[in-house]
Amino acid sequence: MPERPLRAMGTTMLLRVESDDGTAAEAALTRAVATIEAIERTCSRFDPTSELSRLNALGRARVSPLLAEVVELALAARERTGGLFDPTVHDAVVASGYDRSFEQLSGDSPRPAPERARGERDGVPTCGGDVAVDGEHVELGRGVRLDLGGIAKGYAADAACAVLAPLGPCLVDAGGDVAVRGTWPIGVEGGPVLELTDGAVATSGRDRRTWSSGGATRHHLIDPATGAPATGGPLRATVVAPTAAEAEVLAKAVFLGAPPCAPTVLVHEDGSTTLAGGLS
Amino acid sequence: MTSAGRAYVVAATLLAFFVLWATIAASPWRTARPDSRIEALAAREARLRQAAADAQARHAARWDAYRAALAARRADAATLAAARVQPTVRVAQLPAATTTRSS
Repeated sequence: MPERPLRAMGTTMLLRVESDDGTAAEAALTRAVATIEAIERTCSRFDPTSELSRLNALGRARVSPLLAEVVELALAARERTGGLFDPTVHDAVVASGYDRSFEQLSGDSPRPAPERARGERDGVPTCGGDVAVDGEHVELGRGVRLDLGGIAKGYAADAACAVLAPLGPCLVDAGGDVAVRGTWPIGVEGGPVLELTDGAVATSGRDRRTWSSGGATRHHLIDPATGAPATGGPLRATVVAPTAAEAEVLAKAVFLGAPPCAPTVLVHEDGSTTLAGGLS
Repeated sequence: MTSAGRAYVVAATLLAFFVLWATIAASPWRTARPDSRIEALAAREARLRQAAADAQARHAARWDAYRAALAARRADAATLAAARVQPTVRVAQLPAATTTRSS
């Protein structure tokens, strides 16, 4: 089966497609990889030349349709989850120590400067900040910067899957955000295997992307209500949805305490699992 | 002529003289020359008003285009949402093709 491993967006990805036409499959895999890389080049907050970095630096910019679409997707997700998913947590994530790509976050990360420790800039809270999109321009409120990391990864999985789908059943695993066409068995870390057809699954948890800052262990899932890494709740929340971007959003919302409204697997600290949202 | 009559004549002459002087000084037959600074300010105001009108027109056109595109996108999204098949999922006893993990 043609497949393509890939290192992108700070994680390991895998693309697979079942097709009798090996040449067409390889070409589609190449296009899917190019799609993911284009999304990374646009939406990375770690690349100072990316469109997102330029927008974060300027506060207002004319943007590509791709960036406008991901920002609109993120804003719609914020509205739908009542703010549990929030793309404006950028400064809070940076303040918690996640200020460079994860590969570079080795050992003890520098303790955040006191004036940045609450995810604020010039005294203005940055979670829940204003963002306006008028189709080709994005304008950020004062002190607001965007982090599209999670949703961009889901969006990339969906986009790559759409490229591969015409050839046959396919799977794109973007570091845990998995989109499939056809039926595929998808394992849940520490939980059951799910037989998933034409959909996506994503997991949010505090067991990965952790680092040490000032002697304390931190993780990347910021609770927008506090501007700090979330505490309590399950170890991981896995949610099934029609798209990986939506699954990513719902997984984070469920991890932060939203009631499961889609098939969900919760893995707890003690290793036990809970199935919810119609999954049994 | 009496001295009172002479006084009236002198007074009337003086009055006529000052009225004539004031009339000549006012020069009502001459058109006023506009101040060049005021002319420049008026021209600048006209330019700014035109620029503002142009900007408003561009903004209105862009806003209309955006609203049309937004309506089209919402219609597309509604169509897709209506047509979108919800994924089917069940717990299975199978070897996993891949594993979802915290991303």
